[in-house]
Amino acid sequence: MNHSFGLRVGPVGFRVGSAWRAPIAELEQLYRGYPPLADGIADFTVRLEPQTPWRRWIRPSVAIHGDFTLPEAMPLALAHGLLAAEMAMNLQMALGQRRYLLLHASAVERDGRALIMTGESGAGKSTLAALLGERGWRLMGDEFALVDPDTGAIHAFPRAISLKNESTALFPDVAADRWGPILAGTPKGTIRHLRPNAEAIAMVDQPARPALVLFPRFGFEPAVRDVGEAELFVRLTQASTNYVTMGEEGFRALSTLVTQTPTRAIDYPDTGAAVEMVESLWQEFAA
Amino acid sequence: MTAYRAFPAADFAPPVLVYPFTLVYHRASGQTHMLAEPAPEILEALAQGEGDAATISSRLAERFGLEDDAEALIAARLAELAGLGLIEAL
Repeated sequence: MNHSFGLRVGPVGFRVGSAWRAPIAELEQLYRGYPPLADGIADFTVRLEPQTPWRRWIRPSVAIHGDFTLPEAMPLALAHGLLAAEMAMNLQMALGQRRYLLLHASAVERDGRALIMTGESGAGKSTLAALLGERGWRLMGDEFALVDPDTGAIHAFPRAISLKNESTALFPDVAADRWGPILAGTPKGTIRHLRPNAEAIAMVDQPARPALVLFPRFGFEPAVRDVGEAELFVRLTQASTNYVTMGEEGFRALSTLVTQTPTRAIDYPDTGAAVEMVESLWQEFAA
Repeated sequence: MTAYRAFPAADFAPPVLVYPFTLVYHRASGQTHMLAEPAPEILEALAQGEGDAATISSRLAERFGLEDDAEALIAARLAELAGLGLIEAL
């Protein structure tokens, strides 16, 4: 690899190698202030390479490689190299993580206790976590919540947050240098990455006890619904990318989480309403 | 009538109640089973010693009020549990 960048996101070390300089430069900017790899050792390696050798120069296209690959992992235009790197890092985590039970969920923390938000793609869990992260909560992550099978605690994994371009208007007070480049025409539409704030990066090694699980759903009138333990268990096995490979540790971690953590599903019409609902439920169940 | 035997308790993680189901994790297969009543109660009764549907019914009758057709229902659940590899048909 001609260019490379190592970083640690919470307990997980990544090394990203690239045939091109540009995606690495963008990563360095986006992850400024993140701790370096511990002893230079990465848990996962990601490689951004030309699809075929000559494509490094002619209409460059980035193929995602690494310790784990999916046959259908699609190549992206070089202009979207940063997105390729982000997707590749997610892929390595989703397929390769064995130390923690991985939940496809966002998480924020207050007073040492974690609010976990999960649900289908487009439900708004990422935007909501980013928003709460700017309003007095500590962002723990917008993509994955890491459950420690030994302690039951949630470990932070605060990667850069991928926001749809129209959602960026929700963050008028964020310093310009925390934004990544505008990536237009990606498979996810026009997106922009937001670096978590200084508090999220500084507190990255502090885990939190799970206190509340929410299933937010955007685009509906405000409503709160109970979610029973059995439903929560099933939905979280579906939201976990490594429940099966974690074996009994995964079973123990998830069944403990499910039986000890209050859970609600919330419908919300806009992010303002969502933040109010979250604060009110937090007061009711976790404060 | 088919008799059944429980596997050693060590083959399973301690069961977890997630109302209204019981989660049973089978260590050898790595599978998580979500059991509705009366399957968990049948497993408990069978753990006292091998037996057929009549034996299990009488053990359960000591703890629960059973309907008249309970034995046929228990026979069906026993066959299902054996099919899932959670108990052994003899």
